[in-house]
Amino acid sequence: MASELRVNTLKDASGNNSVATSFVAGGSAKLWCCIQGTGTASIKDSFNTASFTDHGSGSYSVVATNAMSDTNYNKVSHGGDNSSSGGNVIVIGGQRGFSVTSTTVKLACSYHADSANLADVSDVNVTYFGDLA
Amino acid sequence: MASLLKVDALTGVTTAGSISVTGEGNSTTTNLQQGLAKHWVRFDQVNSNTFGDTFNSSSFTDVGTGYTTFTRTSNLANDDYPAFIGSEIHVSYTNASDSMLAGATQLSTSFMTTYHVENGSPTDTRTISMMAVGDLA
Repeated sequence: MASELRVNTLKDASGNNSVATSFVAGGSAKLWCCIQGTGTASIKDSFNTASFTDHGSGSYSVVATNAMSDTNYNKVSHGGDNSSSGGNVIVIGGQRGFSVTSTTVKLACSYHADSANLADVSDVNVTYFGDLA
Repeated sequence: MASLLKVDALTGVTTAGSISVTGEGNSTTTNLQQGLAKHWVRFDQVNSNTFGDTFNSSSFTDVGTGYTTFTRTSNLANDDYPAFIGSEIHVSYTNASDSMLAGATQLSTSFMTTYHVENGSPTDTRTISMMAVGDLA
């Protein structure tokens, strides 16, 4: 049977470790996505992700299923290297010239040694924190 | 009316691993379990390799300069989880970054290895912070 619980604060049964439900909602990631960026790009695993687009070398956009309330949400991105020895230094950030929307960010990836050119990297990770619409 | 729920465990009714939480806009819901960070670490590689604080870490291994492997108490469902890493970098250093290593011996459901570089070479740092999201096993 489906059920709904309305509560302001959660504590463990001993009355410790109090957390307001506003922190549960506000502190939870609203989207996360891991993209395999090399070869045929694909989503490896995700949450609240409707789709992604491979825009060519080192450029990817991610679209949320449920939109954020505005465009000022926290967007964190990071790259994983496919080399067990560390390989090259990866740089990932929001792509200049793209206007973030309440659902979509565009990421640009490069290697530090060749930062003038975008490049595909093995793992492209992004997460959103902020308020849902 | 203010309310308080005292409980040690939360479990979904329809699906044990899925509880909906109403979002800040008072309409859209988000999944409680999927939105939670599953593993985070603040770690000092310089001063005797010590945890500043951590959640869901059982141990660490000093793999070498700039490399640390963090082992989890509770495993993730697969090795496709996103991870995010940041660190303290000396003000005069350039060409600095942090990576999660993806090699088979560096990344799994139960552990992951971080890699810190300064001036283009593996370097220990006083503060490395890591967070992994994804699905628990």
